[in-house]
Amino acid sequence: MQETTHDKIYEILASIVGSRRVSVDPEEQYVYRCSCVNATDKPGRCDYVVMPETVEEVRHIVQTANTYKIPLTVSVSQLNYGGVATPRMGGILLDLRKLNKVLEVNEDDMYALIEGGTTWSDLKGYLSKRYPELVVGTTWSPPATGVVPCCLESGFVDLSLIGGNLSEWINGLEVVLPTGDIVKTGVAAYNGGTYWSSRSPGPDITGLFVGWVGKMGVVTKLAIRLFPRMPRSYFALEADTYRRGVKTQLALCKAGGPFLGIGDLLAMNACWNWSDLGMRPAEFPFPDEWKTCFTGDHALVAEEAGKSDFYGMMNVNALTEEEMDVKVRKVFEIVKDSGAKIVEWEEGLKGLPPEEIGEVPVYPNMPMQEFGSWNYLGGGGGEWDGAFLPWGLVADYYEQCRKEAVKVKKHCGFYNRVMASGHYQYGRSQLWHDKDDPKDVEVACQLHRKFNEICINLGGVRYKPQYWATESVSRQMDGVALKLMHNLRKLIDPNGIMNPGQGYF
Amino acid sequence: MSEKKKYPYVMTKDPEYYAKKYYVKNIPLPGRGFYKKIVLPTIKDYERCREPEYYQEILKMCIKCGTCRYVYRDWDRICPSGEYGGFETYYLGGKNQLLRGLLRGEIKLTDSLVKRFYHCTLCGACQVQCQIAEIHNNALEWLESFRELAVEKGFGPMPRQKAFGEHITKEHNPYMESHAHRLDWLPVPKKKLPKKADTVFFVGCTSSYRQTNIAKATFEILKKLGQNFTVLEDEWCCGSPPQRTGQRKIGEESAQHNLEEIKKTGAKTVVTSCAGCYRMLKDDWKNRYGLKYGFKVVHTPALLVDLIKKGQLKLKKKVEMKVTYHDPCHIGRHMGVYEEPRELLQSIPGVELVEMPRNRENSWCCGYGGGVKADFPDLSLFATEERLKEAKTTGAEAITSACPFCYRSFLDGIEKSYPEYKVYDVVELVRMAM
Repeated sequence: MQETTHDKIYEILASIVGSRRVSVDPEEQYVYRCSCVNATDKPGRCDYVVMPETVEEVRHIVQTANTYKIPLTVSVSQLNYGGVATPRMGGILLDLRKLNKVLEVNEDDMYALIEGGTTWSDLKGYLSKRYPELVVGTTWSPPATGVVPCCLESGFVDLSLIGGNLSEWINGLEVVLPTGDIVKTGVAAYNGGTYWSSRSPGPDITGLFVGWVGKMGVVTKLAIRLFPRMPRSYFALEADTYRRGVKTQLALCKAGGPFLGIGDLLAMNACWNWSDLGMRPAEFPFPDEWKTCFTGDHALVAEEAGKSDFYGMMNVNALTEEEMDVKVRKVFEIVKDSGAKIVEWEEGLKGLPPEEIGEVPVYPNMPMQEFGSWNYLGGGGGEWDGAFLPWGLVADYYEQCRKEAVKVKKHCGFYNRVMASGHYQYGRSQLWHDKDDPKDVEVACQLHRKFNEICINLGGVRYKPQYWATESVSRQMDGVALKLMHNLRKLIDPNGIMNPGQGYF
Repeated sequence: MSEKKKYPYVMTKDPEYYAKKYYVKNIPLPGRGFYKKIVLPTIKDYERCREPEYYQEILKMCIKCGTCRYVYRDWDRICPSGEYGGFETYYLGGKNQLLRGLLRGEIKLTDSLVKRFYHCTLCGACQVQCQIAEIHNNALEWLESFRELAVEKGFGPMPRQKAFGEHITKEHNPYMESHAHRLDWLPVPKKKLPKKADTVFFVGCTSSYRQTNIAKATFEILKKLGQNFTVLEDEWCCGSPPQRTGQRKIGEESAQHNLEEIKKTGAKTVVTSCAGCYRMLKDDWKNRYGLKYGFKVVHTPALLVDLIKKGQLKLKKKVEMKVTYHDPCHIGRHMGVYEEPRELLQSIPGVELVEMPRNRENSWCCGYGGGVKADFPDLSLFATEERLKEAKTTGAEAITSACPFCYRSFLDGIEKSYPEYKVYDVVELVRMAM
């Protein structure tokens, strides 16, 4: 960009938000360059970081970008694993963090209307202090990640067995389109935004903005479903192999899933489980033979040591103890019949040395940093490859990823979560790497590409794919659908300003 | 009943039930207010007061996840610098990235980079919230040592901080006042002070020149109690303002001078009502400057609570007042002193103590520290007003604290936005009750 144009754009942006809320300093450009976590992501660079506080300011910024054809990347926390908010083509980085208000909570219709930059902490804090009877669920992402991006990119929470992925929780949106027009979706599109209680029974354009990685506009408001806070109890599931564990999850879902009171059903393999406890190889408080898992196939080592590779977690919800008794009895029976076992939360902790009990972190309702585990075993780097999968592919996906990881002596973490009453699964293969070790980073990069291939070849559909993976995902897509999507994107963003270099188009 | 024994689950509506039950162990580090509350493995111990390079391995672990922006598990905002500055670069996560980038040669040391590090009260609230063990225990170390590095390379401190540093060298206080007037607040002639005493009352610059009410109240309390004490004839700045702004050499010189002066009195105890002086004398003099001394350093509220327990101090007069207590960062998060000032307030007949939502290690900073009051007055006032707003939500008619810096901040905030509100130092209330 030429110097004079650059100065002019700065002046325009400063006139919109004030000079304190726009930066062209190298410090902001550096910190906003990427997510700082991924191995495969390449840092980008923006020219301006702008922080609007109102929808009107957002509108003016978007109009400016459109007029001058400047790339615009929208960000809340910039911690997305796919690097979706990495500014790949320069231009404006729109930091929405000051648009962080909970505008309305409707107790009867059970939804919250929030601004585009609201974080999980903002929303959780607001609800727990003012509406303790309502919950929004807990994501495993960090406390400062945005609710809106999580919903738009199909994240999930500890109520996903009931409510599905978070895109299914959206009642409606307010979006500033690349042209500067403001559009509402869901029933709010029909009533002028007086209420936001559901999607609309008539034509509904919410889906135009879901899964498009910020390429269709800037979401400035979102209505998200809330749920009643139920009394619940937590149980850990254990199975010798991941395959058997998944079969147990399926049996639970077929027996009723949410009707049995189960609100969340997830699991992780031994490697993830240990790392979630914040363990580093040399620090395992377990038998020596387990420690070798970090240089070999942890599942085999676990098996040889007589330990399990599948560690599940579920919550069971019930209004009374009697109801809980009935539900739990049935759950225990199904689990036993499937060859797995249930470890009750408090019972499980009893096996640990007393001096460590006080320091044991717990799974329920954890924000990301609960375990201190996302320091990535001291290396500071981590990346996952996630996919929506049918039941039959979960164990295959895991086993194939693990096999590839073992070949290069990396340990593959794996985690799956059952969604929407058991209608589909989400699976994620995770690697940790040392940010400062180029060899380790390179090995991780190659392995992530392998994981991507495995997913595509199996027929899974990638979730939050990295920018480099979208090309292979596009190849997987139906040609007619792809063309239609291209046309829609062009129609809405004729100048291609929104998040260029990112996503499918 | 037998069924319940078979399935001894816990039913809870409280989402934090298990966290509260199993995640509560706090292990204080020696002499610090920061706590290890992190999981099973033994974390690596790092030395304190080292250069930024030393902490590189820890910086690598930060992924700017934003946990440092909120009170952990309560989700209130906690970082004045970030909330006012707005951009990620003003939060700990952003600063960690910048420092790592600098140490890796990816960005340069510039005025604008340095400014972001000085735009911080060094309150340490971010550090407390971070759940990565090494950051949780060490973040303030590199935030402070970066300032020393900036000064060494000629990029720091900020202009007014530099000016007060120079003034401290000449007149031994950061307030542009004459050293000759340091003891003007004394309610007795200077000559009447004994040369030798069991206890030295270390007054500090803020109480000597600005909040003389705190100096006078402390002096009168000690006098009334019949303590064998004195005030240094030639007290200099404790070293806190220059040290916190990276001007280590000035801080160290002041500390050495004061140490010699204290030794001359033969005192076994040094008592101070200033939170900043307390941290300097008790922690920085020893652990940062390596000074050796045998006397005890006591913060006035702790001394008074001890005397109450021993029956040597009896508070009889009623002070009918509903108050809230603000934890000064220098004694709270930095030194782990939370309870004594509260105990003291609760010992005063008529005083009703109510807590603000953000209290103890989760206190919102008053906005004074780290040289911010001098060079970033808007940030400072923003922080002060936010705290006063919180104090008012408790229904308390006054905010109390145990630090002349906090007192000054609140006084300024009250003057600007809440003229009907009141501020007291805890020693003032004790004085009223005697």
